[in-house]
Amino acid sequence: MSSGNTGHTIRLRAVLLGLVLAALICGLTPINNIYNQATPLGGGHFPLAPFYILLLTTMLAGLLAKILPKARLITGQEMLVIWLQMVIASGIAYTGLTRTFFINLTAPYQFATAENNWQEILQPILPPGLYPGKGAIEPLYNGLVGGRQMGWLEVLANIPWKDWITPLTAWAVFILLCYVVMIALINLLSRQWIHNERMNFPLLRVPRLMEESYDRGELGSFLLNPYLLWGLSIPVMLHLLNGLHFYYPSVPQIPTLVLAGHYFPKVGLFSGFHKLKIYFYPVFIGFAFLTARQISLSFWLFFLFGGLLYGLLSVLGYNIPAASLGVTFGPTLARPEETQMIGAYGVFFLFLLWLSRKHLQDVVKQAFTPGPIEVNTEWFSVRLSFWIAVAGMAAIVGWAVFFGMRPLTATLLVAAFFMITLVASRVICQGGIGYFTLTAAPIDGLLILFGPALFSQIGLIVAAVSQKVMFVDLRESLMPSLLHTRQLHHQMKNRRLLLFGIGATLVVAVSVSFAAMLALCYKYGIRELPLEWATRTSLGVYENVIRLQETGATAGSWVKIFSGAGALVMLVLVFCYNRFYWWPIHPLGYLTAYSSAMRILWFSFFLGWLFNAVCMRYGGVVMFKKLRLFFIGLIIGDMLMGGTWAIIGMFTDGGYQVLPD
Amino acid sequence: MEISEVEKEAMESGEDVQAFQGRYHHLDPSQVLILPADTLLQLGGTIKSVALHPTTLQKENPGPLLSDRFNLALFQGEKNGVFLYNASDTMSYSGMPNILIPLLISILIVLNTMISSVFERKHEIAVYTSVGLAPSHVSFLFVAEAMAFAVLAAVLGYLLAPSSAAVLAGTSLWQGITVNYSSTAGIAAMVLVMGVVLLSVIYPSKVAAKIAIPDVNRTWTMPTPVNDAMSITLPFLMHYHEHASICGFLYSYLKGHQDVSHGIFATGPIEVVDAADIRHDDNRLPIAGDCVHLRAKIWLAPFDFGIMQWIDLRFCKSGEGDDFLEINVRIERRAGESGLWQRLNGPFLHSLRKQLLIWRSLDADGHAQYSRLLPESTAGKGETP
Repeated sequence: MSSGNTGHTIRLRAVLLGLVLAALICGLTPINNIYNQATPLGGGHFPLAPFYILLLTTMLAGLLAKILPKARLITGQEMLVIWLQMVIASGIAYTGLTRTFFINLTAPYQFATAENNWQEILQPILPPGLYPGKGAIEPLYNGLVGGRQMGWLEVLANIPWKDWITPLTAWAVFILLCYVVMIALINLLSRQWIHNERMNFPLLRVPRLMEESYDRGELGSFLLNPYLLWGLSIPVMLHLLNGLHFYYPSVPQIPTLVLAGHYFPKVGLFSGFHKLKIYFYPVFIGFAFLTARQISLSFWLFFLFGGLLYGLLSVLGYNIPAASLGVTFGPTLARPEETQMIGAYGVFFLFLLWLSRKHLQDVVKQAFTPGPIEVNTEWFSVRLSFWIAVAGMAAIVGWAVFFGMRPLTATLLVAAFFMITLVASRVICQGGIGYFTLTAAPIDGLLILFGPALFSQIGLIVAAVSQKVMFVDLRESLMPSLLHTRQLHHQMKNRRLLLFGIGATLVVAVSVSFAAMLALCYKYGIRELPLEWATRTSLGVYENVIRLQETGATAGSWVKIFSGAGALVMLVLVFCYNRFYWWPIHPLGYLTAYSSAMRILWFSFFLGWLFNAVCMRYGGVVMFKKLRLFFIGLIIGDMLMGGTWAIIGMFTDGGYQVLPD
Repeated sequence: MEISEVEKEAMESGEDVQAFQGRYHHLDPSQVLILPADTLLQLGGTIKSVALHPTTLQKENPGPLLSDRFNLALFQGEKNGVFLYNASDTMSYSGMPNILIPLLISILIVLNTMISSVFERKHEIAVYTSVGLAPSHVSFLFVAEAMAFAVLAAVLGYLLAPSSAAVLAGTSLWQGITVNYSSTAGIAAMVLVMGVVLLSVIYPSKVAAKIAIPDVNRTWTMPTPVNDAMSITLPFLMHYHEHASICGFLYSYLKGHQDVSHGIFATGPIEVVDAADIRHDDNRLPIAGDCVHLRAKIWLAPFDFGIMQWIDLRFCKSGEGDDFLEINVRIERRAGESGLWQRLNGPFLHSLRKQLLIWRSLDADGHAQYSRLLPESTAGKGETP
């Protein structure tokens, strides 16, 4: 990748400004996303609000630089640092942590009914240190008495903190330990992934190019490039018309959703495409163009193959019932065929380890060799990273054992958590997927491999709840953002300050998000707030736990067969990718074949791949460098319109959503 | 209000949103009421399932028969447990042996025709190769030609079939034959015809390829590496005074691959060194005297495998004479697996050679433009790649 502007160091004020903006985003997210039902400030791994702020500040800074050229109020690199701090915070404030956190911890009490009998079968086995006192729960769901008339500070003062202090401390320990381990793992692997493997980061391309051109004083020629302007004009026109149509239905609309499923029958070879949809999102087409074409090809190809598999199996006479899944915790796992992902994730993780074998050998050697050690471009030395990661994971195991899990189970669980998260981070960062969901959860893999006997009663609860807190809703997870941050910091100076910035952002984000969410819930009551998805999925966790404990249902043989098949397919893909230099399909695409995100993104990846392949075939890299500005224009235009309509939506009754919900 | 994904999909598809039927729910016995069916129906219940208990002993297992008859999934309690019987359609083939012999005959006819066509057109193939078509392109020409004929034949045949049926249907010739041109059998027949032709043309196209003169991809082989290094002298002889232009052209080619992880390679820092300008330095790659060196760090695609190498393009005076320029490429592996590194360097070197062919096709203005692009020698100034 290109060397950043290493001439300018990052100043403390940039990091502090990033902290302030991160805190602001965290404070505003609950009320904006939940209460106002406005366009989400975050939403995926290329969140809207941070990029919108970055775009506007860059343009403003560019104008100011023309007027006061010597002032150097802010550099492009500093704006990138601030942007990343906001990205990290926006994930934590919503689906990444806070959205389901409090419901997760209070659902067993609030939703205990005579029908489910949780009072007798669930509540007695909940570890008390992890759950709030009873006095905290009723006002959380119903709102404080007179809460709506209180000011925010008054609400905060009236929250029953004494009931929350113990669980918040316990969970804060868990959350911060997980974050520390994530930072250590990313630091450990950064040299291998970023430098040795030249990982392509499509999601970072636009902000980097923008800021690099600002630093060179060429922002005007970048933003006014004809290719970029043409690309910008498409989403601007599209969303101008569609947004106006939203408010004034007499304005015609350009459809961006085609329900292609109607063209396929419910039975037969193509029955898997019965619900096929074609979405048109310029921003994702742009990212797909910037992704390596083997990856974008494999994304849409495996998605279509996955759909074809259902039909093929039904034509051959195999109608495998969903009941053979047993009890699973995967967020969107609905059919046994999708359990191929379990085997595939495992094999791909081993592939990643194999690719990094030399680097890992060096790391282990450095970890056990005393003496001074050189820090290349990492935040801190790999030796320190290694030991922090090991100690951190051991501490998380200890935390789980403290709350009732068996040591072996806890070790396997922590290993599964971080394995899945690492693989998912790789998929998101290398594939340029702005919007990603897991198919199968880490616990599902453990249940299939070892059976439900692996978990004790309490162990299963702790595992399922901690998974729900941090490791299953990966739509706005932290680790990919950390990897992006590592890539950007790779060439910057004063990395200690940057690391301090990340740490401070995490602490501030968690604190402010929790406070803001608690304040919102205690003011209005969760019952009145549109938190259906969060409630349903949190309840689902406990229902599945009870179901698994009562029935002890092991996964059917079909699930084991599909997991094995998934592992085998991934092995073949990896082998072919290694052996044949012309092999056009990247194994990464197989991992998203059944992801619900790919149902929305597949057509964008198809278009992006098509343009990329044709451009590289007939124009080479020279044409690619020119044409990518067109697709960068698509990205900037879509985000610009998304932010603008979001602002307009704040002052009107309804909001036109540009990006997927 | 937030809705579940399934409901959202159903609403988008225009279906009535029904209750989300989840997976198997286990009900505790204490939560199950047993009422007479009439009472329940009067109370507003609907039939969800029917359970049968045959009063007389069944000779055959009724499960498969019933599920086949009603096309329903049936649970049957047996001595060994509860089993599920499910019936679904399978595919069936018939009539294949009848067409095997005619297929073989048509394959051989097409094969014979195409081979004789290839041999008759030897001069034509020679013309193709002289304008630069590779053997694979020549063979593809024959394949394309055959496919065009196949499509024509299939369409004409499809037109002829219903016409002849219409004309001959009442006559004694057509006695006993029933035809259905609207079914997928018609399409299957067309696909079969095209498949047969494609199969038959494989061998003749290979013969055509053999006749054609082989291109660069086949005659040139990679040298074996020694101590993770390869040295290849490119088969070009240029004039020495052109070295600035060639070097500038290749410099811009390598520079174009900086900052992108697309294409077959990515470039790191590039250095241009005129050996005449520097003193010998142990920390740098060995420098041959009297040469201009273009050196760079290169990563080879696919980048996941971390194959990284240093390349040193040397533009030296040739052994043929001082007026001539020889281009030598020295490649040293720095990271990544050796076997994969050797395989991946094939396309990389071919791309370099192709660039030199492209340079040749430029005019004098183009050459001058590229010689201006070449930066000054960074001897002693720049970083070692």
